[in-house]
Amino acid sequence: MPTADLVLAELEHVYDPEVDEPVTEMGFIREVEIVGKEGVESAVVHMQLPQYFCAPNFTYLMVDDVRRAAEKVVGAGNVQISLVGHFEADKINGSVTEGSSFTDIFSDAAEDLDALRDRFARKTFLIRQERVCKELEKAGLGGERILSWTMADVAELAASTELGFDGDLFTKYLSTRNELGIDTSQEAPFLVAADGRPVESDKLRLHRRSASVMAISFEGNGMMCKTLIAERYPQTPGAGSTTPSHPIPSAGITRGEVA
Amino acid sequence: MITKDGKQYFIVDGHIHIWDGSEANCKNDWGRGWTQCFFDYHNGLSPEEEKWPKDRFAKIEKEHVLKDVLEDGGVDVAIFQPTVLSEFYHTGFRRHKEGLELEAENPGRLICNTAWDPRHGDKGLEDLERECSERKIQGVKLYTAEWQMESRGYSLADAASYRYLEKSEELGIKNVHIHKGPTVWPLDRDSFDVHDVDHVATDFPNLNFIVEHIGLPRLEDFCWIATQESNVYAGMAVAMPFIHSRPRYFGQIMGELLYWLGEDKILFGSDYAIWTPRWLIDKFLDFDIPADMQPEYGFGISDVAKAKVLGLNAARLYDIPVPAGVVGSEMAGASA
Repeated sequence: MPTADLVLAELEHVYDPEVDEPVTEMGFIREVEIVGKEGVESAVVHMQLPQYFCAPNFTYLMVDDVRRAAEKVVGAGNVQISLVGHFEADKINGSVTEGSSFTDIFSDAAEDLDALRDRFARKTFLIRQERVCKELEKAGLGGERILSWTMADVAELAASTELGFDGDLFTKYLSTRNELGIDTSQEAPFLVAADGRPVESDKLRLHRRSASVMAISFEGNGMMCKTLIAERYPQTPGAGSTTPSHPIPSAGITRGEVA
Repeated sequence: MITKDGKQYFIVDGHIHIWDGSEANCKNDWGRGWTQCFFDYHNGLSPEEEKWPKDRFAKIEKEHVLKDVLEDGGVDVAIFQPTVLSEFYHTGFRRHKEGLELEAENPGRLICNTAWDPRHGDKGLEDLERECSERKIQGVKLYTAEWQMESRGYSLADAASYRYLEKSEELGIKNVHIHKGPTVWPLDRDSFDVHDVDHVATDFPNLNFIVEHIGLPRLEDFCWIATQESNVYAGMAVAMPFIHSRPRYFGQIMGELLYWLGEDKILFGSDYAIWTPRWLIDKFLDFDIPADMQPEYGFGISDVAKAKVLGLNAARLYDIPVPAGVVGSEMAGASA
């Protein structure tokens, strides 16, 4: 039987593309309700964002991803999204629930969301790769040598318990690499550019510094969003740290919210 | 002027406001949303003792600017960066009349930049010419991602923008501050996208382009273009308060900016009244990149670098005389 907890567990796999953290940890999910009779349940996902003016394109991406994830539990067509406190909330809620596309509702949009999604997935890829590089460095395996590691080499290092390597970072890297269709075979080079091509030795420093500064952007965006959402919705359980597993009393949410 | 360890620092706050975001001035929920968002920034990133009640925050009076910025703030010169928003507020968000009065009443201490929008066509150009004939204007603030009627924002690389940039140069407006950050009415145009700055910085070598809020969630793009173009600067407004809540993170930002742009291209801005300048300045003077992070960047932040960020760099862009004896003054061509 579908439950709110099952839906929330699926939502833990929906990431904010500008931050690379799950929407559940960002405090974007207010509540998940299961409504309807047994056997014909549907889910209502109540969402909130850090700002009244959060960009509709990124908002739509996340809200639509939330719908898809929730449908894994309750089935296609059985998810209703209820985003509050956003200047385009009505349009976005309606279209995502009905399954119309972003360009259907914002007909003058210049960039389609697939291109945007791809651009941010590639940034995420580089950031995740850089995090693995930092782990390699911590283990004394950094420097120029990174250029010669294959995927198999790094997978082995990541699995080693002696090195104290955070293996989860490699798993995340591997998953984005897969999603982007970049070669993940054993002998493929570990360090590649966002388009999948190997990094040349004279570009190593620039490649890594660029990825590093990208990570700083993502981190800053995440901190800013968590800070703002905690101000706006102080009732959100630990806004940004824990997953809400039960309804948040909406009566308590007054400070900061805009009607 | 602020004295620290017996050394004097000349301070230019490159980004302040005088606004009316009060309920009485709000036209609609968008105005309310805007004021609230600013207030959330204020509460979210200010130290406890620097937080204000909402009514004190929502409407800023002339005497507040004088006290918070010039007297208590220790700021020698501050620059207003106007945010118009006439669709949200009955009299606009910025208090234009009060800003001009403050500039006239405090010569050399307060500078009031103008705003233009290339979508205003010939009429806007005429207005700009008239304004420049009435007072000396050295800088302009732009919001490229702002909606207007049917338009969902513009690019600095548009032909219409070029006309305005040409006119600005002709009229002696040499500092172009571009808001690349959280925006009003964003849609699909990435409001943080700084690539248009790259084009115009090449084509207008005599203008200075200050990217406000350092394009923060797109810091990598900003650093990249700023490295390519010698006339692109980092405006620190909104990035500064991390110095209190997330000092290590602030250290990373400074490390990156110093690495990519260097100490001559970074401008302090408090974004008053979102934050008051004094605590930001004091904390910055006390700050260095944490020792364990320095190997990554290969440097710390020297007193001279701090003096440049806090005042000397903006003084250079705005032809502000720097008094002798302050840190770094020998490099800034001190007046006497």
